[in-house]
This record gives sequence, structure tokens and C-alpha cells, in this order.
Amino acid sequence: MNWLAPLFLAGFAAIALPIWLHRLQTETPTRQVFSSAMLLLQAERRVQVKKRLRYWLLLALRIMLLGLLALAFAKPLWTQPPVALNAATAKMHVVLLDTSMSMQESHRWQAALNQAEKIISEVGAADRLQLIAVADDLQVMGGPVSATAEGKQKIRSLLQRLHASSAQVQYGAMMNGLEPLLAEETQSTVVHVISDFQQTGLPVQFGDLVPRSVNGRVIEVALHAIAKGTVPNFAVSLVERVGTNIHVTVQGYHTAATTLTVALSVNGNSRGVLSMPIPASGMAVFEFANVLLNTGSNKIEAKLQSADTLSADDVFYTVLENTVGQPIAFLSANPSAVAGTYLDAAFTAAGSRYALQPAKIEQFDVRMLDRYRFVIIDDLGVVSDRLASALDAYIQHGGAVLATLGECSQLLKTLPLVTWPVGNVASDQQGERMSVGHVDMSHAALSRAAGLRSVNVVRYVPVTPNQESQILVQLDNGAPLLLEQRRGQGRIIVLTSGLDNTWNDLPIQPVFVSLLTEMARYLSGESSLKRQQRVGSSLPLDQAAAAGQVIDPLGKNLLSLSDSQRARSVKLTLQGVYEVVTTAGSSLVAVNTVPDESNLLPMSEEEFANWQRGVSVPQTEAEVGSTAGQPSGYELWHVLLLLLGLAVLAESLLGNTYVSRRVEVPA
Amino acid sequence: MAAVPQSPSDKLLQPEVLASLSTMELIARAAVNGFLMGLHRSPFFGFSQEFAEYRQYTEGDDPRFIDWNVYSRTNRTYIKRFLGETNSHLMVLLDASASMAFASKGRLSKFRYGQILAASLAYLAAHQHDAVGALIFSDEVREFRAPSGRSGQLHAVLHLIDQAKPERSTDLATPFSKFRDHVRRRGMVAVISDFYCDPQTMMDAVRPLAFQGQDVILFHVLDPQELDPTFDESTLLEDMETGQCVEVSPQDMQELYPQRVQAHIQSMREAAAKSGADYVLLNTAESLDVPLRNYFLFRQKRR
Repeated sequence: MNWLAPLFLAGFAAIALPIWLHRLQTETPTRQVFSSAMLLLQAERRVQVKKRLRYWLLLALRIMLLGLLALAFAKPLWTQPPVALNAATAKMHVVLLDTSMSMQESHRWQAALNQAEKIISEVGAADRLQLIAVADDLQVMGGPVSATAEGKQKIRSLLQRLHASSAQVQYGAMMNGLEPLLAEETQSTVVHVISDFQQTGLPVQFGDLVPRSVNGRVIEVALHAIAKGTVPNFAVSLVERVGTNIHVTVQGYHTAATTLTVALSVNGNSRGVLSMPIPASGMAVFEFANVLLNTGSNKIEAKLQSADTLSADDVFYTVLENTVGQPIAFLSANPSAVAGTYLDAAFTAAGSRYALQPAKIEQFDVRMLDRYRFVIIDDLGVVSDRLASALDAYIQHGGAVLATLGECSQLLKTLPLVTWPVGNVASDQQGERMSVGHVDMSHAALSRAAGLRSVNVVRYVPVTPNQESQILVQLDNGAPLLLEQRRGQGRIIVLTSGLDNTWNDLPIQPVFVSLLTEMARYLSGESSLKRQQRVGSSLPLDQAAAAGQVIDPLGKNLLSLSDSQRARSVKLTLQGVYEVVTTAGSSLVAVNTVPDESNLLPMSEEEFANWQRGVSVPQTEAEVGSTAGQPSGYELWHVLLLLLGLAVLAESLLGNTYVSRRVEVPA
Repeated sequence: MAAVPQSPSDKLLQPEVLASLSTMELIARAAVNGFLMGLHRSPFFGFSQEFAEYRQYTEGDDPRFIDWNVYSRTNRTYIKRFLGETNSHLMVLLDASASMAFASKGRLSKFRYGQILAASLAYLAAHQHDAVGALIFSDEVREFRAPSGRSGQLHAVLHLIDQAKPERSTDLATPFSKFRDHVRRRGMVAVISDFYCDPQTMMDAVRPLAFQGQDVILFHVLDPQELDPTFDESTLLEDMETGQCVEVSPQDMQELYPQRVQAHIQSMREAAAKSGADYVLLNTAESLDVPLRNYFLFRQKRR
């Protein structure tokens, strides 16, 4: 039984009114001495009892009348699942155990196990049990099984195998995830949520905490909090390189001022230990100066040595690259032209790890192509057939080319490599400024290219792309400005204008640097990899799958042979450094805990009470309306109104009888 | 309601009129004289003044009754005796329990009415030269004066009656038992009470007196409000003896209670008859003519 408007239950206080009035009435009779009650006792007592009974009946009717009125306004909702759907009154008990990182704190996990054990013990033999672990997602560990001794033992053994993870729990997502899991369930369901109920796990909208009804059945949720009050906790929140130094940031949550010690290691080798004070509930940055890094990727581990009750977030991993610059070939008829200058300046300004290596196109040795991560060609029209053939093979095997069009290109009928027909350059194109009309921002290379719309173009080479090509940027006259064509395992991107600031002003626009950086990352095959990830996130395998392997921090291969070709992503479940092997080589990805899990403050009692109250009224009025005709979620107010009417009638008749009997007495 | 009396004698017998007199002796004398005045107009004339016989004077006799005419002729002293004069005595038993204090508005209480009646009976008995005594009781004997024909006895009895106060509960068994122990001579016993007791209890108390040879007359004194109660609203009635409270409705007191009172009276009347006692129901709203007339008949019957 639930109440849609429980505040109206306060109307029960009105019951005091008839009680008070009846009390006054019983005190009303005139007191008078009489010679003897001997002749009154035998008969009058019976009359008196009868009269008292009448008074009590009248009082009871009036109390019932007011009580029914209050109940009707409170809108009671009969939420017990109908017996008709299940011949037995057995229930399905789902034990939802929070396995997020905060549960590793001190005694919380053991308390959670004890609570789960208590619930399992109390479940009746006719019921059924299911165990679900929840962190970043819901994972059915076992069940549903009949809650017999054998079934309970099975759930207990599964329970003992569980352990707290390093992931984060979001209560809103948790409640949403219940619906598909319970969709096939036909019995009434009770979900026991066992958690420390961190405040950081609350959703933005409180309504997300209330599970929706599944198949017209209301999901009953019981919240079991195993943590009270906040617990101080330190966490390493960031490791970053600043010049030759490495800065380690430590954050305190509800902590007192103290002195902390942080140890830094690079590729497993200690690089120093630092101690410094940290203010109460504050932040401290530990600066390790002149840290020597190996060439290539370096595994950095910063560990807080002043251990607290939650150790999982006392360590932070990151990957720092230390390379001299990956070579990019810049092939041009005139390598010293201004286009090369703009490109080199842009890569330098972006702090990119790419090194632009200009080369005269007719003197370029095609055997050197494999050394470069990708190739930039200034005016595709100058590419010879031999070079075009070599570039084609290079692209087919995973290479990438960024090409511009220029004076030579517009003289051709068909562009090399891409084989797009070249259109006639209109005479009125000379000197007329055109702007960018459409940019495909969903493309990985253009995610930061919104500034392209401010670029002015005065000349371009009109081309007619084939079906295999994709237009990424269009001018306002509809002519393609940037196109991509995939060939084999590689790709080529063509700018139908130049980069020398004569056909357009792109090289001098701010967007040029970010565009070039993203383009280089995309073409080199690094665009799908983020070096810093959180536990519970997914690692996209757009390019990794081609090479076929992801190795977790424990050294275990996550993909089977078939998965290496099909899997689109890998779930990062462990804290540490993953190794992703791609065609371009291996990359390291550091995975750390979610900062929200480090804040061990539980939600306030009011928030907890609101949630508990919310899940006790799981159906909104609209949902009740949508399930009208179904036995569950049945509103009782109209039944109460009917009873109210009967009570009013009975009270009127009885009260009138009493009044008329008094009036008949002769004066 | 009693009829409004018209003659001066009837008026004098009204309890309210008698109660306005100062002393109990005066009250009793007024009552008896009023009664006797009325009696002369009644078929029962000739009472007490008819000559019966002469008896030789003995010490202790009142010298006022010496017939000096006979002394002058015979030189002997004789006492002149009248018809009503016998060697009898009257014992008045007055119930002084708390319930006797009940009085409806504007009426004498049952106890005051009983006091006047007791005093009148004592005065009338003394007037007839009977020895008279009194016993005041409630749940025990509170005051007792043995019957005697001595000078000053009437005054003492009237004083005893006048000083009594209604209090405590009613218990006929104990006082009547004690009375039997102290008075063994045959005579008349007048019991004045509201008899709020079980008729069987009353019969058990009175019957031994009859076996002892006493002639018993029971004066059952009730207030008009007890005989025919009038309540216009629900009332909480408090028992004057026990303090017990009973809430009554006007309808029930109007319809059912009088029936139960009449049934109780009838039971008392039958119990009295079975015990060999006379029974007289008295309404405190009525004059004393009724009890005195009944006493007169009662005494006549005994002769």
C-alpha cells in the first residue's frame, strides 16, 4: 500500500474533534443526588450501557468518517502485485550489490556482504533469489534460483567470489538498468540495493532514481545503507608533465591538514619521493624536477605513501611520450615555398610530436615512403605516374596522404591517385571571395574545425568526386573544398585549394593549427586512442582491431583471434596501463579511477529518505493511468468515497435517532 | 398529588405546616390534636374518653386521674380508666439512614416527615397512657430508649427523635435483632423507613418480632419524586448512601422506573402481610392524617 499524496494523512488529526465533542457530551449530564440507586441498578445500568454503546457507535462512525476522508485525499495506491498473476504470493528478491571503488574503504565491503547474507537468510523458501553486481554497469552474477537451502548456498558462493572493483556507480543509471533485466520476470519483485550511497552517485534528476514499472508491475526497492557519515580520503588526481618536470596533484576529501608523501616511478624505476603539507580538504601539487624519461612511451606511476582507508585511489598512472618527432614527408615542386613554412610553423605551435621533412617531389625516393607516418603533397597535379603508383601502394597498406591542389592540378583532366575528373575553372572565380558553407563536424579530423567558416577562398580546383569519396567541407557555392577517399587500409584527404595563402587565407587563420593537429592525428592513426581513460570506460578499437590486441595491466590479452577483427571496443575494467597494439605500433593507455568515487561522503539523510519514499511510490499517476485495468497499482480513493457516503448515512441516522429520543421527553 | 385540605384541622396536619412549628413536642401535639379534631367528625368517635372501669390507686399512678368523687363517698382512692387505656406500649423505630434525607424540591425530606410522624405517634401513645419508646437506626442502632410510661418519657423520646440526623446506610437485620434482645414485652412496633432493601430481608427482620408477639406496622415513606420521577434531561443520579452514580435518561425514568417502584412496593406489601405486619405507604406530599388514622385502626384492631 502506497500513498500518492501522503501529506493528506495529517487529516487524521481531525479525529480528535469528535472525540473531544463526545467527551464533552459525556460530561454534560446534570449531577443530582438520589435516595437510592437500588432500583436503578438493575435496569438503568443496562440502559446506560446501551446508551454508551450508542455513543461509542456514533463516535466510531464519526471517526471513521473523518478517517476515510483523510485516506481518500491521501490517494492510497494498492501496489501489491495481483495474486491472479501468480498463484503463489512468492516474490523475486534481487540482491543488488554495489561493487564500486568506494566499497573498498575499510569495513564497507564486509558490511555489504553481511547485509547480503542477512537478506538471503530471510528470504522464504517459496521465493526466488538473484544476485547482481553493480558498478559502471549491472552484471548478473547468478540466479534467479529458488530460495531453497541449495539455492541460497549457490548465491552465497557467488557472493563470496565478488569483490569491490575500481569502477564508479551511478544510481540513476543503475535504476534504469533494472528495467531490461527484470523485463521477463513475472513475479512481484523486490530489489535490495546494498551500497554506501555516495552523494556523488546521485543523478541530476531525482526522478531517475525511481524505477519504472515493468510490464505493469511495480518494482519494490529496499535501500540498505552500509555506511554512515563521511570518511576522510586522499586521492592522486592528476599527473602531468610541465617542461622537464612532472607535477603530481593530490586532492583531499573531508581531510584535516597534514603532510603527505608521494613517490614517483617511471617505467617501474623510482624517480624520487616528495613530502609536503596539504591543507584541510585541500589540494597539493608535488613537483618532481628534471625527471628523465626514456625515448618513446613512458609508464608513470605516482603513489601516495601516506595510506588511508581507501588505497585504490592512492595511485595514479599516466603515459608520457618522449619522442624527437615522427617524420612527415612534405613533397612539393618547391619545398622551400611558403606552404612548407606555414605547415612547419603550425606543427611547432601545436607542440606536435611530428617533424615535417620537406622533399622535392621529382627527387623523392619512393622506397622511403614507409618511414613516414603520412605524406603531405603540395599540388597533387605534380605527382608523376611512378610516384602515384608508389603512393597508391603506400595507401593500400595503411598509409595516409594529405594533398592540396594547385596550378598544375587544374591543368589535368583527371587527378592522380583519386582519379577524380577536374572541372573547368570559371573565369569569374578569379578574385571572388568564397566562404565555407558546410563542415562535417562529426568527422574525427574536423572535431575542432568550426573556425573553418571564417576562411575565405578565392581559388580552388573544381573536382567531381566518385562514390567512394566523402565530402568533408563544402564552399558556399556547393563546390567541395575538402574530400576524403578510403583506399585499402589507408586514406587520402584532398584540399581543392592550396596552402600558400594565395588561393585562400586558411594558413593564416587560427583554425589552421588545430585543423592540422587533428588531421595529423587522424592520418597517423592515433585519433581513436585517448591516452588517459577512466575505469569503466570503453576503448574504441577502430584501428586497434586491425592489429588485433589489447593487453591489460595484468598482462592478459583481452581479445581472442576472432575478436581482434570484429570487436569495436574493449571495456577498461582495471586500474593501470593498457597496451594497445596497432599497425602503427603499440600505444599505451593509462586507466585511473573516477575522482567522484574518492569522495566518500554519503548522501544526506533527507536525500536518502526522499529516495526511499520515492521508490515506495514507484508509479506516477500517468503510469497508473496507463496500466488501468491491470490489477497492480489500483487506486482506492473511489472505494473510500463509497464507504464515506455510507458512513455519513449511518452517522446521520444514528445521530437523528438520538436527537429525536431526547426531544420526545416531556418537559 | 394530594388533595388540597380545606378544614383548619386538615391544614394543621400538613407536614409543611407542622414543620414550621418550633419544637418537636409542639409539632406532635398539633398533629395529634388536629388529627383528633378531624376524628370527631369521623365514624371513629368515642376514642379514648369512654369510661371503662375503676382501679385502686397505686404508687406511681398519675394523681390527676384519681376520681375524687369516689374518694369522698368511699374514702378510698381510685383511678378512673378509659376504653383506650391498656397495659400496652409503643416502640417507634425510625430509619435514620442517608437515603431518608432525600427531598424533592419544596418538600420535606423523608426523614423530617418520619420525625414528625414518629413524634406524633409517641405523643398519641402517651396521650392514650401507653408506654412509649424509640429506636433510631441506620445500619446499626444509633439511639435507643426503652418504652416507659413514666413522666418525662415522652419528652425524652421526642428529644431523641429530634436530635437524630440521617446518615450512613440501611441495614434492618442488625437493629431489629438488637431490638428483640432489649424489648421482650409484647406491644406495638411502628417502623418508619423508606425500605430500600430486599423485601425478603425486611421479612426476615420483621417476622421474628411477630413471633415474639409484637404487633408491627410498617410506614413506608417515599418522596413524590421517587414514586413518579420527572426528569427532562439525562441526569447523573448519585446514590446518597453508597455514592454510586448512574446516568439515567428521562424517558426511562418516566416509563420504567415508576413501574419498578410500584413492583417494589407491592413486594414489600406482600412481604409485610406474610410477616403479619401492617403496611402503610406514605407520600411526603400528603398530610399526616393518613398514618395517624392507620395507626388508630391498627391499635383498634389490636384491642
